[in-house]
Amino acid sequence: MATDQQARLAVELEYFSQHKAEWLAHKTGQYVVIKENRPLGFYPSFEVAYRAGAATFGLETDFLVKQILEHEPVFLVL
Amino acid sequence: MLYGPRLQISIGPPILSAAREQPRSPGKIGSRFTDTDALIDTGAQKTVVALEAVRKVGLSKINETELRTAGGIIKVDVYVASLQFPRCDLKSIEVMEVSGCDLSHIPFYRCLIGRDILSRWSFHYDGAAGTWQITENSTKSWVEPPEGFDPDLWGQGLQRLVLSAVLRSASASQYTDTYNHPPRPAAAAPPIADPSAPAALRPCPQP
Repeated sequence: MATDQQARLAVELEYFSQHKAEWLAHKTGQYVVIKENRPLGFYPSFEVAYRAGAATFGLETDFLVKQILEHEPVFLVL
Repeated sequence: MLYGPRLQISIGPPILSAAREQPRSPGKIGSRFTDTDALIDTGAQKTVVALEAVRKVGLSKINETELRTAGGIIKVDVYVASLQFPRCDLKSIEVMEVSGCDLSHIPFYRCLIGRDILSRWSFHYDGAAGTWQITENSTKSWVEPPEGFDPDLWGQGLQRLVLSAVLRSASASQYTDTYNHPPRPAAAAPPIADPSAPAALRPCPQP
């Protein structure tokens, strides 16, 4: 099960890491939607980005919605 | 800790009426929402949902992230969900990110409500009286928490956004409860409610 979960979005996360540096120049803070090796677009908020992805790909499939930040955040949960 | 402020919530897939929905597998129909108790956790930057609930609802994975917990930094999957509050008049959250995590260390809850949700409300905690109150002023369906923005970007802009949301408030919703509920049996955690069961049969966190 854990392996299956890690495999989900592996292609999209790899694509993101390959292009993050170029996107940081002009897209910092925006959210990118990626399905397989194709970015759908850049959006100002998570909700807008997700709705765009769902309208294109549907609700029953995984796609990546990720904010473009120089440093990946680590969130505190105590 | 175990009997702190809590809300009954309904976790489900995002609520997107305009989205193009693809056919769902028969096994998923009827099990798309699950009711559970959620602990309000001001120490949590992000809302966390138990993996058990993630699997039951069949949430879609949209990202991965890292959480700094008492036990160290862990890598988790991020899912997209909706949250509704069936016992109070708080506005539903139609689309939000939730982190999937093992919550077996807090056996009565399958969700920690973090500051990403609390940023929508005014939350008043009266420890001496053992009561708490949520007031919802904003008419917006969602207000991004400060943590969700690059600090270099949000500054004055976010302050204006929050102020604007308050100024545009319509009728405020209010929910008051006590956290001094009698403890439940210390046996195994109660099962997640069957969404097809009548509401009167579902677990209810009343004092």
